[in-house]
Amino acid sequence: MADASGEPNPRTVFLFAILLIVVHVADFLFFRRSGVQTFAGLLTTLLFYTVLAFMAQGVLKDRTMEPFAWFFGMWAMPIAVGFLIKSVGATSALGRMVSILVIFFPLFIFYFMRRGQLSGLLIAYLLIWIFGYGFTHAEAVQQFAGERGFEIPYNPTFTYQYLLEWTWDQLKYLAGLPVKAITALKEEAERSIAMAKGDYYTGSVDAAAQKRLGVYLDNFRTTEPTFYEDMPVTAFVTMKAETLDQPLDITITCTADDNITASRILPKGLFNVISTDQYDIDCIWNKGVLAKGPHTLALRSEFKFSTRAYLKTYMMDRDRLREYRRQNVDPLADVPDKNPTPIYTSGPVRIGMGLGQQPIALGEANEVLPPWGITIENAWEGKILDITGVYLIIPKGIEIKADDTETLIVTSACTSLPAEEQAGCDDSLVNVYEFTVGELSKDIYKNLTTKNFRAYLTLKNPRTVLGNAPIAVQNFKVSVQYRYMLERTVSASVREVQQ
Amino acid sequence: MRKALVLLAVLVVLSSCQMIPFQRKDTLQVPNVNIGTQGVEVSLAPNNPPSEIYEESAFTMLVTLSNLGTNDVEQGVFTVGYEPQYVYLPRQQAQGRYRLRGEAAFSPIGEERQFPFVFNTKPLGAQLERYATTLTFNNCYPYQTRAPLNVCIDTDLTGKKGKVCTPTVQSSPQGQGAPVIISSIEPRMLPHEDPLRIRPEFVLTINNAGSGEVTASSVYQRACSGQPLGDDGWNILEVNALLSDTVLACTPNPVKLKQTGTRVVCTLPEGIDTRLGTYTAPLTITVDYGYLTSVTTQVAIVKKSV
Repeated sequence: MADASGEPNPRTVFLFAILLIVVHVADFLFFRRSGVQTFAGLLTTLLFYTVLAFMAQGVLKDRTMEPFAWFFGMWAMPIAVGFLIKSVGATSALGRMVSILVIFFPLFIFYFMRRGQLSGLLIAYLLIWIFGYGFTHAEAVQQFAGERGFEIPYNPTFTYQYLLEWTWDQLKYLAGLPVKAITALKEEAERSIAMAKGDYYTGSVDAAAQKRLGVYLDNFRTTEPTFYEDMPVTAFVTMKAETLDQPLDITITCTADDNITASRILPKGLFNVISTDQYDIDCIWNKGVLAKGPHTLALRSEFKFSTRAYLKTYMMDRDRLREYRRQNVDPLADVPDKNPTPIYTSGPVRIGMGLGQQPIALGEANEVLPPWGITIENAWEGKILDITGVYLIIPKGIEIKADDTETLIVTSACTSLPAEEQAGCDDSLVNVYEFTVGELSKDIYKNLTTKNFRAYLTLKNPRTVLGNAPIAVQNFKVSVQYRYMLERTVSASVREVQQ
Repeated sequence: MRKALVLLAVLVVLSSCQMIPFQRKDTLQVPNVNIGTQGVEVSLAPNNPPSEIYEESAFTMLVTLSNLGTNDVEQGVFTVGYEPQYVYLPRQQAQGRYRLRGEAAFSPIGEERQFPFVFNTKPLGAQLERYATTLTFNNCYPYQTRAPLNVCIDTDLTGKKGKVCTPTVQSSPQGQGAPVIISSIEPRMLPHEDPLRIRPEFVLTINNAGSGEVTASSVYQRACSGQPLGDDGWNILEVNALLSDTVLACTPNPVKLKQTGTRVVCTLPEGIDTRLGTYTAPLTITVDYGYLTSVTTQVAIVKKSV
């Protein structure tokens, strides 16, 4: 290590400096010792001061030993600073300043700077830390540190930790892109073909609604950046659920690597939401359940839900409408919403509809009306596990010709609707149809992305539909009952217990 | 002394007189009601219906019908359009008839009536927070536009000067107190096949200046229902004209009203004797039709539990 003069070999010094930097970086990135007080730390501190004392007395005259003394200083200083921060208060200005100082100026830097060696490397090192310090104040980094429960988000190491995790997430995202792109392209192709055929129908989510109906999951996160074999692995999520009339039963399952079920789910795995609720859910794998190594933790939330949609339609006697058009008179001149768009309730499923140009002209009985096109589509990133019911509600006086459609539809009644739907249904005013059990058991309804179909309408009694006013306002409604699954995943690493 | 007594007597007489300033004699102003482009107008009372109402509750739509024209309405009809899936109104209340006296010279304010309609909102159904339901009030009534005026009949076609009057175009864009107006009357004095007679002709320009739709007077009631009126049902006017007491022949009659205005020519085929000279004569034009006006509003039905 040293030449004959007792001066350290420059090459050795360079390697030693690199080693110090690596150890220093690892110390802050992964062990984050600043502010941590342990018996080992205290011992190291005492050792450091002992070495310094010997040096002061001239016992360690060989300069070869000097770098090791500074090396101990690097370990000891954060511990000493930890005591200081605690004594002045971690969040105080002085505490923050000192903790930053530790990271900017580890003692070995003073050593090399004093010796005038490797100044280029050290300046580069300092520049990296200045960059880190600057970004530590960025909102994303502070949020990142806050999420991990640290009181001093000014520590520049969080910048690098954040960048590391962000890069890892991006890499995982990029790795998954080809699969996602193929799926998206396939869905878009199906949608384009359906649109070209005129079979894809759009709708708007109920803008007047104040509630976001459905189940919403925030990011699934682990409680610790790293777990050890002798501790339980815990990941948590915040779930918000909102419903109006229909009680919402939610089942939570947590798995690791798709096959290791969580030991516990807290507060519980089954939720019954009546109106609006928010829960923090913890998935806990007891110690020893997850072996050493990386794991993918997944939380799945399954719930039964329903989405309703309606299309307001204006209907007129056909001859009267022709007369209006011949006179160049707008039959809907006084109507506020002349071309109503289909409205669907918020939630994971989008329902679109189309029924030709408004107003709809009604002629004689038994005439065929424009087909009623319906699109049922998965609007969220989760999965429609299966569809348990599709109900079509149309004005009395109009019927669906079930024989003409490939979809198996049968005549039903208001009493067949789910209980919460029955209150708004009156058999004297509407005709109800539903998809048969056989229809819903087809494979297309499992993990459904888009389902387009057309219902062929026949006018049975124009007077019933039109009533006694020049323009009749009627509603075509769709109600879809389904089971939906949302999934969130997070990566966790379990390490061997440090001895 | 005698002079003093006379002077005193004069003073006494003068003092009994009062200084009466010059006063204009009040005259009774008869309002001219034969102006305007309105007929039976429909309006909704403020907050009736309300803009928002809870499901399974009641609200009132208060409709005011005001006859702001000059014609009395004996058989006006109305219908109420609503969405039976969301609101309930007894069927018998959804249609009705009315009579409304129009404006007249000695009762210049037309009659007004209010019709309250009490609706009950139904349950909205699952997952729906609100729904904007559409309510329509349709008002149909027979009406007549009456334009009495004096016209100049000039039997002399030589163009001599110093006549008592000259036939000129009379315009009245402000209307005659009805939604269909006779916007101009152009008199023409044409030669007759009998050289001793002339044929007066009046070119009428007729417009719909109101906000509603014109129907034939015979089918106006159907206009408020959902039924078709037929090709001869919409925009059909019947025009009649009387020159003094003589009926003029108007063509075309009935006439189809066009958006840009319709021209009708009324003439006296038998002509007028040229020996009668130049004179003014009363010309009375009446136009009969049906009229449809509608008012549409929306009420937001809100779920109770939100």
